[in-house]
Amino acid sequence: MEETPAMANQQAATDLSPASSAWRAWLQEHGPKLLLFSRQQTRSHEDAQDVFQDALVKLAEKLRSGEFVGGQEAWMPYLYTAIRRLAIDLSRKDDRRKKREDHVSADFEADQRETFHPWFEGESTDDETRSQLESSLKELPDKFSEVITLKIWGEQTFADIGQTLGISQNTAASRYRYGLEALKKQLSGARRRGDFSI
Amino acid sequence: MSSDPITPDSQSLEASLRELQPSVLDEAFLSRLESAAEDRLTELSPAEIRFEKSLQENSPASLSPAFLDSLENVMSGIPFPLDEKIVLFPKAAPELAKPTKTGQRSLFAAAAAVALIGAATALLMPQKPSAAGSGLANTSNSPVIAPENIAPVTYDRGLSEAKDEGVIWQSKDKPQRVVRVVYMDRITTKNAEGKTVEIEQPRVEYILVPEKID
Repeated sequence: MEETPAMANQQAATDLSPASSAWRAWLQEHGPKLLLFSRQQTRSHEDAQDVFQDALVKLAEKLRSGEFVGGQEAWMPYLYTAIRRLAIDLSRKDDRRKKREDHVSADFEADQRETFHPWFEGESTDDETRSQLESSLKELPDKFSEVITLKIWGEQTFADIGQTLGISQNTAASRYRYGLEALKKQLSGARRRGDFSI
Repeated sequence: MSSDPITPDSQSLEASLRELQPSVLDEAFLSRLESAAEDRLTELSPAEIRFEKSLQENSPASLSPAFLDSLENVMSGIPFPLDEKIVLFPKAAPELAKPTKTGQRSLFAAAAAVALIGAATALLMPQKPSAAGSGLANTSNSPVIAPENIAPVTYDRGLSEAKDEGVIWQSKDKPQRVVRVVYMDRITTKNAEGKTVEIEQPRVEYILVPEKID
């Protein structure tokens, strides 16, 4: 393989390295799960993206400095924990800001925008089903929906979930099973009302 | 200060409170406690597993292309560890750097030896005339077709840098380590006035060295 210095300069500007390709593939595979959890933890699509990106920056800084402990298998638990903490911080800032300002109209506009950023996509289920699932998850208490999101779509173990949320493995499992039951009741109720088919 | 005396009112209140009993645990909670004690809480029932699978049919929404690009930018310049032994490196900047000091002496020695053999071969073997404009592809001491009033005097090529760029997999079981080698081509010319001009031009090559795997 021969390369002139001029070509090398151009290629350095474009990101064709093995590392870049690997990162892109990793983000395409795991990004949707992380974004879904971020959306469950925040109040809008935009906040979810910001929180996710900030969590990734934290991971990048730790990897760059060599401080990160663990291999690739430790990235997802770290990111879930970081997303949760950043979302809590953002929520507290938002609460303080809303106390000072009237954001009723802003909240209404935010809700309207959310309809253009669905949480789920899928070939085997229809739009109505996915929409109902999203609504039901939003209606569940946070402590249930976050465990469900991490377990089902985040593919985390109860031990990992416990670490991320600062609870025991058994508490994570309890919340999950209670949450599943509550979610099933909500979805069954919607089916009886004829809202969707499942 | 004296402690408050227990008044007759307090005593009757105490007696009323003692008559109250804590509520009996409901069956669901009892079952949960039993499962926790027997370390079975994390085992899902078949119905729960079926419901779980039905929910998994809904995939999280993909990242938008713009958002994916911004996330990729966050990770640019960071090596990607495939496992404990293999790390993919980002593209290095095309500038000369000091040779790296690592413990992989035998690997770099092998790559450097290959590069030196290549350089020596290029010096000794005749090469095709280069395309117009490069002016430095002649690797022998015979004169090139040079611009007027300038005649090449000597030409040599030296190895200036060898750097490990990480491992790539050209097929499933053939990892190869990429070594970036920079040669410095030097040509000394003399113009009509007899002045000597030295021209240096770096040339980059990538060498693939089969990587040993367990």
